[in-house]
Amino acid sequence: MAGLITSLHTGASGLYTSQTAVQVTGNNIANASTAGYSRQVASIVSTTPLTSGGLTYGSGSAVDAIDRAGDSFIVQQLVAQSAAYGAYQAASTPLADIERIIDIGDSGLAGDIDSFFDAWEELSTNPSGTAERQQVLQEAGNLADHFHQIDQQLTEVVYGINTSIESTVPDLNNQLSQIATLNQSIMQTELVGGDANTLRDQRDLLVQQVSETCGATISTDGNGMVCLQLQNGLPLVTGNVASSFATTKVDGLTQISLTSGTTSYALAHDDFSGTLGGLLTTRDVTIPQFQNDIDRLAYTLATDVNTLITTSGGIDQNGDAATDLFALTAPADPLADAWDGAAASISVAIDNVALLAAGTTGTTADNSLCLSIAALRDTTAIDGATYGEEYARIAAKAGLLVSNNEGRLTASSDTLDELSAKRDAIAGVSTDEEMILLIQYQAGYQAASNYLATVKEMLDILMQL
Amino acid sequence: MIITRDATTYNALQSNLSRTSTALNQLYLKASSGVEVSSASDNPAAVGSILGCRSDIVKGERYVENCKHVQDTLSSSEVSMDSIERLLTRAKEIAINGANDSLSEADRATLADEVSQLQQELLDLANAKSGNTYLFAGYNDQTQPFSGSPVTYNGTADHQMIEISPGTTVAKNITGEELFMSPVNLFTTLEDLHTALTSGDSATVSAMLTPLEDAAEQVRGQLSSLGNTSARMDDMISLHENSLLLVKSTLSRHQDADLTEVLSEIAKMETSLQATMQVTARVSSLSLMDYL
Repeated sequence: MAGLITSLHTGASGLYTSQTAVQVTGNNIANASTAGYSRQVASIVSTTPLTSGGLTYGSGSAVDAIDRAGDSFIVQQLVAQSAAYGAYQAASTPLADIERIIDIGDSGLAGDIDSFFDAWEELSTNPSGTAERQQVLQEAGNLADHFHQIDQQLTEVVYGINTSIESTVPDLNNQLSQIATLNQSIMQTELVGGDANTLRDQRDLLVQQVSETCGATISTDGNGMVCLQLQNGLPLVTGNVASSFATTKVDGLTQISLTSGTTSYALAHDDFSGTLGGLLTTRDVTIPQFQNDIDRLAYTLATDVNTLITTSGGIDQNGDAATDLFALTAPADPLADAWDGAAASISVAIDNVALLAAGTTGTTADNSLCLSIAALRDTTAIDGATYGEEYARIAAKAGLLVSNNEGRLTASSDTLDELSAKRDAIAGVSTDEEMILLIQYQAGYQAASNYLATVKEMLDILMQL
Repeated sequence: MIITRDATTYNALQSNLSRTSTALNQLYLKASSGVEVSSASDNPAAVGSILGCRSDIVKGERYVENCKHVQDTLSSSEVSMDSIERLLTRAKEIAINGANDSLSEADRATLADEVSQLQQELLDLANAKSGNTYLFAGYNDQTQPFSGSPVTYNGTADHQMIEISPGTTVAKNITGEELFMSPVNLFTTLEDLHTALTSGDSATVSAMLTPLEDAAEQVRGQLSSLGNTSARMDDMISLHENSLLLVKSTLSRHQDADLTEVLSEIAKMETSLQATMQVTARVSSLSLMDYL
């Protein structure tokens, strides 16, 4: 038979258990809105039974662990999806900038191309008119300026991306070293039998943030430490050791390198996913394509007009052979495309209306060259397209990139929301549920107290004997 | 599945609220600007058509301008050419008079004087200007085309071509060469008439009737082709104006917002936004704590 003192201990264990459970519930309620917090559950077990007088009877209850609700599969999915979301999110601003620069409005480059050829058409009706000649030079100047402006603005988008990369990298390094530190703390806490639930929550959140920034694959080693790698396999965090990123400016572009131990690796856009992947791909793949397209358009238009003027034997108002209307600077690199840098270098080579050729005979009413140049606008000069159509193709390409990216961003944001909802369903805190648990534990506490009072009365009776 | 109100429900409501407000904002912009495709991503497939239409409008308006310009220049020429025709008719009357055998020497001399006047008048008409350019000088429109005795042509045989529709050009000028010099030389014809009248031989004067008729025919031929070109310009103008209307409506179809559609879409979205807001308010009032 168990002694009354043992019964007192049994009652006390009930009190402690309820109290601990109330504490866990309280902590859940307090963290209902904490980002990345996982609901904790007091794991209540029956304590070791006692055997006395041939009977085995229970000796109360205890909280043997505070468990953390969670599903590592969903965490993995969240990490992967965050990387995709980060890439689309980061690309959306520069892509929208590119679309704005390759304008399809009334003030876009397409309008300037139309106006330039229209000015020649107008000159054809009055070939020696000063106003009409001035108009041609003016429109040629506007066209060149617009090419500069597009080139300049695309370069500014590149600068903006450089700045974004430079401001992202320090945070990323900080997160990586925090993950390494947490790995160490979690291992130490759990080695001595402690619960590292809060630390694990923090680590999961950091891992998701790192993946959103640079794209990472995640694995867990034998000590329960999280290991992160870039998608090319380079280590970001191994156990309690974090690698670190560094940035340097090379030819006006911010380049990223990863230092792991004593070795440094130079990284390119395809080594990353996430924010950095989105930014680098836009800067190193997308923008150069647009610059190349615009350069080629500027170069083709300028050389076509120049060639026509010189080969058809244009004669200016002074009776001299006409020179090029547009000036272009050839690229310094002999291996580069002939049009490389044309949008930046195109300019009007003539500043005097008398030097403009309207015809090929030097007579005052000869407008034959005007007609030939005006006809250029309808020639399929670039890949079977006229200048205007080529510009429309470039603008449509920018639009398509933006709308595709928007679509993917929405889809990945939806997936991320759905995964978060799933994670919350498993690990999130429902205040209603916690209130019910609170009532349950409170009732348990009251019951245990009543039981203790009863045992005390029994002891009192025994003492009076 | 546990629905955790703080996380699941509010997150879902929050993202729906922001999505609906963004969509609504875009609709407001469309309604106020009237433009459906303001950036390429609104409809990348329509970009080519939109820019193509704008370009066609610039060209179409220019072709209309060019047609009117050709008409204006031709009508300046027409005025002078009408006078030349009248002048030649008068010369023919003089020739008929001069061919009369009963005419005295003095009468013939008077007629010869009138022919001299006509010769001077013809030279003036041949050097007619519109603004500061000579009408019948070909490409050399800043230099007086006819001068000297006998009169020579210093202009060129070039026509100033003007584009009136893609790839089609018409001449806006009649050259002095084709009007005065070739095949019939108007100046020589009048000079011959003058000589015939002065020499006093009625048969010679009478022989001038045919060359004079040929000369008048040459001018009438040019006048008639000028009239044809001018009429063709009228046709071209209405053709271009019709196609401009068509291009403008195509542009509008690609680019402009259908206001009825946008407004009904706005009403729909506003209802949806209100519903989301009401649900949000209601969810926050639902709590077990109210009943404990």
